[in-house]
Amino acid sequence: MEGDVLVPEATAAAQLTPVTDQAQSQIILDVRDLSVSFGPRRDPLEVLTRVSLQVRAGEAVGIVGESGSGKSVMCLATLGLVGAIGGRVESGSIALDGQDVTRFSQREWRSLRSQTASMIFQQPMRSLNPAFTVGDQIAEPLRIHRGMSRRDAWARAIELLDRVRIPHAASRAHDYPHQMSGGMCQRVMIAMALACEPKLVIADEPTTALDVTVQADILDLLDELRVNLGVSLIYVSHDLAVVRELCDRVAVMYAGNLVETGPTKALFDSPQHPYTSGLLEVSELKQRDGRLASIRGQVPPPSEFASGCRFVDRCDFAVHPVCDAHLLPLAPIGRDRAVKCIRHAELDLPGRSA
Amino acid sequence: MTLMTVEGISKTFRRGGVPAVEDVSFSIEPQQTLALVGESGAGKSTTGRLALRLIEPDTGSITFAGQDVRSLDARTLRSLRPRMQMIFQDPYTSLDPRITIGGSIAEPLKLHLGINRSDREKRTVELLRRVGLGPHHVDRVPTQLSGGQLQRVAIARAIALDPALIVCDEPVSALDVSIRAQIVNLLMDLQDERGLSLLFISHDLALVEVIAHQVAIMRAGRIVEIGETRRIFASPSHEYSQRLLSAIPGRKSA
Repeated sequence: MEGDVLVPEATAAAQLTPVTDQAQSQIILDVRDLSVSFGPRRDPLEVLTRVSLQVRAGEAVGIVGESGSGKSVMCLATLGLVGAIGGRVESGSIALDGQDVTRFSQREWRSLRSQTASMIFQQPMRSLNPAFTVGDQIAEPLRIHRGMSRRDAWARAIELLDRVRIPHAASRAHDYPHQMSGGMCQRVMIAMALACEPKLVIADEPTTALDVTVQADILDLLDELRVNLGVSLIYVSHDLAVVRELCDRVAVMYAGNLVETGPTKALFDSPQHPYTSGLLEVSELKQRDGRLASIRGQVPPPSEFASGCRFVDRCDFAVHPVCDAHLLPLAPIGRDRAVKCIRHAELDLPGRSA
Repeated sequence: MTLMTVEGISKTFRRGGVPAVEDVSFSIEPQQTLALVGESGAGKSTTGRLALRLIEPDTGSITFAGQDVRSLDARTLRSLRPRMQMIFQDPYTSLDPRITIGGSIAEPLKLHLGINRSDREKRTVELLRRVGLGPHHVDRVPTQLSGGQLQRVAIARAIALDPALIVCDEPVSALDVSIRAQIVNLLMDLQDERGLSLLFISHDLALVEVIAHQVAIMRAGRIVEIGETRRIFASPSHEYSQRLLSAIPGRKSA
């Protein structure tokens, strides 16, 4: 990118370290300056630009942003799956549980995935294999990765189904996915994700396809599992209310960038980036003159990302040419917060109302 | 005068099966919004379709603008159609992928009003402008637009015939929160401007609280509670309403 005077964001990432107990301070996921592109190498389309994120043991981190902000690409890249959808890591590094996995082959990934990190997807019905019982699907990773016998793996699968509060687990293990409701399928997905006792679980919009009452149950379950099993959780969502209930820290993404990170309460109480503030307003259904507060326009496609701040066209506070000049790094503000906005110091943005 | 009154409608799809909708009654006033809320399978969408007689009810009566809708023959019903329109949840599947945006909007103008081609084109551009799109969208096809833009097209098509009622079946639940606000605002503006009544089907309770005048809570095919939105959200009387309202994220502690 021309005129790009990016400071390595590793410095900012280092500042994201929250003050916690020594026991809690182990870093499970360490993503630094990660860029991901799609399309031909000669004319690549960069969809993720220099993203840095750290997740500590037992911590829940929310990633929020609209469709097209790069949330899912970031998660897939984190698990070495971005190649499967035609993308490639251009630069930066990913470390999982202290191991640099940036250049891992698919073979190396296979042994690591589900043992160190696993993922829960949005559409539980589509993510499960309709041709196998749910018990078989939970037992499969145990047999492959843990070398368990068929019988032991099945017994463990039933334990796991019980753990995710599926009633009559022993008989439900014989069910096929179509015999279960969406909420039940998502519990099965969670059981699968937890089967090999990973240190990190990435949940990509796990409740979007579910009813509110079921959503509340699934969120309770995820929170309970995190607390009791000490698993780290990345929770991807466009629903800020859910993230607020569940997460210790939040990373806000926009158009392939991280635009703000910080502890949940601080970030929601006093957002520093206009996009964060706007997202808060729309998700809380704030009203102005009898209408809902909204963010005008829409997320641009990667081919139309601006060379300066990518939010500039939709921002009420944009000043030209200051904001168009160049893409800023995510700059630390205070001890554990960072923002990518040249005007953050002079803006007083509305935060959470209640 | 009440725009629509629905009394005791029921529908069972399979003989001897469980009723999808059972003994449902409600009324909608001009320029008001009635929200139908409840979980998947509660019968919200079926109720919306029954009210428009897109599905034939087994029993019950429907009065729309003073007319007994259930007794109308096909021809008379068709002449009433322009007055009652519908917007669906998934704009990607509710618009024909092979027809241009302009074509989709002009179609009802041609079928119902018999307007000539050049006037249709003029009206189409006016309608696109009204919903926040422009003349350059006329020749696009649905795959070239985003979900929010497509929902704007669906709204343009719905208001093309100047309806009195629009049934909105989860119109924003497939959209991002930021776009949700844009679309809801557009619907509210159109309601004020044209005196539209809306039957707003949704599972998004927080949104319903903001935009609906009346709310009906459905469960297993029945309305368990109906009344003024403010009253129901402040003190739901039915046990199920209480449970449903307490599941709204961010409300747990309240």
